[in-house]
Amino acid sequence: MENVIKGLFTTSDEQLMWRVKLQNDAQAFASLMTRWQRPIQRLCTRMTGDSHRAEDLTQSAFARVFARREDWEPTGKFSTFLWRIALNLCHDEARRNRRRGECSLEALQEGGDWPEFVETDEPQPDANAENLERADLVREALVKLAPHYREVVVLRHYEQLKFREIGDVLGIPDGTVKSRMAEALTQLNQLLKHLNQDISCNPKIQTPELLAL
Amino acid sequence: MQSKDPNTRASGALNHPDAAQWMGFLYGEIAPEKKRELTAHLVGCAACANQIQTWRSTMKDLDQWSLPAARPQKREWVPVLKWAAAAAIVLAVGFAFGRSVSPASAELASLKSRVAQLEKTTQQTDQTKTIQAATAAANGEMQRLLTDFARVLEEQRVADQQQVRVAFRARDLRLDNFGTALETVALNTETGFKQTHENITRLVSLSVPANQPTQQ
Repeated sequence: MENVIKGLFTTSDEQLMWRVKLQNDAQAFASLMTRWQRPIQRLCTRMTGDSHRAEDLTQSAFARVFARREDWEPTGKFSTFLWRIALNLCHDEARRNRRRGECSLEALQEGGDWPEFVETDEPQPDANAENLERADLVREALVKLAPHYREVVVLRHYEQLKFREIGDVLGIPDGTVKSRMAEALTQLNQLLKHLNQDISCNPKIQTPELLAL
Repeated sequence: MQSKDPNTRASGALNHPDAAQWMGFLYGEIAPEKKRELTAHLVGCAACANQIQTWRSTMKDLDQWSLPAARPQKREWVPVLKWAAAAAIVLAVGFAFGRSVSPASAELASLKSRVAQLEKTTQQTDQTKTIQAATAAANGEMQRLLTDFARVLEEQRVADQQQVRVAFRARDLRLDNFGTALETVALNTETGFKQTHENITRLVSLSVPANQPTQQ
């Protein structure tokens, strides 16, 4: 009900994007950015494991949306269009890193600053070191997942898209999305076990090879 | 259930739901009926129960990595206010225009009188219609009465004809009787005349004068 009432008084993403497409409406595009900047930044952070890169990728994603505004079809949801562009940018970034021999996880460990852990809006249940460590393990495990598993986990578990919506974004059947999700959870479970063992045996030891790949 | 291929069913347990169904189950994207079915399966299947427990545990682990919660969307009142302002302007302009072009009191009186005339005309028309309706109703009633009258008249005529026929038959019968009686009288009369004539003839023969010689 709240959504219905809200829908009556707010302009939909598609209406805004229609203005951007037809009239190059800067104000409409700014509204879209206001709405979607944080979700896209969260997506990029979880896909790359690097919050700073995520910021750049978020900006690039919106720049690409504007550049490709002519490609957007009004019959589709704007969010699908946006998720797809952001994910492609994340994949491009990962490929570039691999060519450079760089790993996001390594960058993470060298950089070491994760402002998102201290910027949560809610009270900090994870404020103690143990919880931070567990969160760090999860992040490491997620980064080790193959991209086609990671994207499904990020979109379904963290961004709470429906399996069907994820299928639309990725252009695959929702049954395939579910299967990938199941496999991703299974692999994550194994990765987390390994990471936990490594830390308990020797906290200084680096994590094992990428099981998911 | 096998972790390597989630779509592969465990050997010897062909009825295990596949991983895709369990994902729908875990993330609440499943029909209630299917959910009941899968819940019932979990009760009796340790393998699936273990697998679900593992997935649930991993999902819980994933929740450990929290990022800044999405800020509540700032409601965009600007478009609403803009539309409201536009609507207010349109209403104000319309009101002012209406006031400026509204008819003067004289025109208003003229209009009222015309309206009154129209009302009168309408009433007359209504009366005419009422009369026409009443006339039509009266004509109908008259027609019905005439029809009844004609029917009664016809019935009466038929009854009279029957009575006349009966009367004629009775009269014919009486005439026949009368004719018979008349013939009887005529015969009797003729017999009487003949008797009388014979008597007279006999008397005449008996009263011939004495001086006249007889044939004897």
